[in-house]
Amino acid sequence: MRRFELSGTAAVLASVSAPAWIVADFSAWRDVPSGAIVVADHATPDAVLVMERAAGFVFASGGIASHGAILAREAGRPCLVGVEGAVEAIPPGATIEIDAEREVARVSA
Amino acid sequence: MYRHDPDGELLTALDRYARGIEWVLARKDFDKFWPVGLPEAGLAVGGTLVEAVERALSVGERRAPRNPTSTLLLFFFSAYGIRAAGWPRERRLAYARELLGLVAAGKSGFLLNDDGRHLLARPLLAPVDRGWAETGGDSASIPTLNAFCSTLWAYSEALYFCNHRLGTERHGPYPGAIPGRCLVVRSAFDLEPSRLWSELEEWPAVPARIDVVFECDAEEDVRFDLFANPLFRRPAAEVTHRAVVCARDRDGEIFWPGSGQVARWTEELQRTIAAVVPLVRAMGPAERALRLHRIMLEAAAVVGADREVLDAAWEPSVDRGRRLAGDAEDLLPFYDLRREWADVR
Repeated sequence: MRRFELSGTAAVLASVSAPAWIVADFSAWRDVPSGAIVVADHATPDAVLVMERAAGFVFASGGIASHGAILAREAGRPCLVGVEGAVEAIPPGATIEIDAEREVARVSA
Repeated sequence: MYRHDPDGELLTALDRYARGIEWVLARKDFDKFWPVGLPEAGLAVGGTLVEAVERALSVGERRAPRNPTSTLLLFFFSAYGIRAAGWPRERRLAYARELLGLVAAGKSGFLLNDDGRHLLARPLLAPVDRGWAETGGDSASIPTLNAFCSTLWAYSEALYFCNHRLGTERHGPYPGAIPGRCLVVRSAFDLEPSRLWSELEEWPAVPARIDVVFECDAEEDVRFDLFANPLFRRPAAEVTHRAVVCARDRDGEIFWPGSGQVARWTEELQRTIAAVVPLVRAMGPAERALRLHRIMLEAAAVVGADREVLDAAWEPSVDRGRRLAGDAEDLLPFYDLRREWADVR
């Protein structure tokens, strides 16, 4: 098993561990399964449709004032932003632990 | 504003604005905005927009905006058009004085949220005490109301693109009635912009104006940047003691809906998001530029710019859309968001 860490900025001060779901195509938000940590470049408006069922979010771009960060905070979901290369580096099926205190995503793949 | 030393105060405001932009830009990816990045969007808006706004404001009856950040965003985007149109310094300053004066009229605190507070001149539809009395401020409804607020945000972004403050704005913190507590409000203003979206046949059955009031710990570091983006990082529900919703229906009647009603509104808004987003994704760059141009004219109408003048400036055509989008592509390398208004001096 491969383990690695990706660092970013904690947009929401909350942590979680769950399977990753990669959103590489923005038209595919609705496919996100319940309980997954969504990995995407950034949020588009239809991301709100999965906020309630996602366990957390890892966004490759953005800062604490970005739209994905604000949506996640209102939904009470852990969220890291500015995690460069996350979409390419995290394989589908990996497990992610969002550690808000250390502002890292620990990936086991 | 500008009473004692009109030019000095304006120039100071522009300096603070330029610094504020620098700060915000360091915390946002402006090129990732949906459905067009901000630099391209600013350029797509172009010189025709600022000229129309300037003309329409000169004959319209100016009014304080209920959502002043939409006016500040209009100001932000105007910078590109002003430079593209080559306005002289005095004309630029007059335009800045006009728009920033209107932003100030819609607020009761610092013009650019320098102290982290974003306070509106008319923050609430009705005294919140009535809401607590009628609903009890049911704490169990907090997740429902948070879901509603994030849906409002996404809905506004879907329909108003980067000037989503036309649809919703978060503001506060205001003093709470209970010592040690404060109020943070999410207001929704115009959730049926049928003028902008003639292709949508059905609109969500939601009230004309809605306030969602959250009572939070005053000790919580509730702050906003100059574009009213909330900067606190704890989950919203964790810092909230109780919440209540106040709404005004289309007949002007004020009421205090329960969480079941709010959940139904959330579903309706999400249904529209699901319908609009594919429409926008199917648009080409020219169509998006045209739509954004129209949205920005709407932001001017909010502060009283004459609608006839704005409409006269609006000649949608494929050629115009291509020109707007093409100008954006050609001019983009020469623009620096951080310097647009810093250069006005």
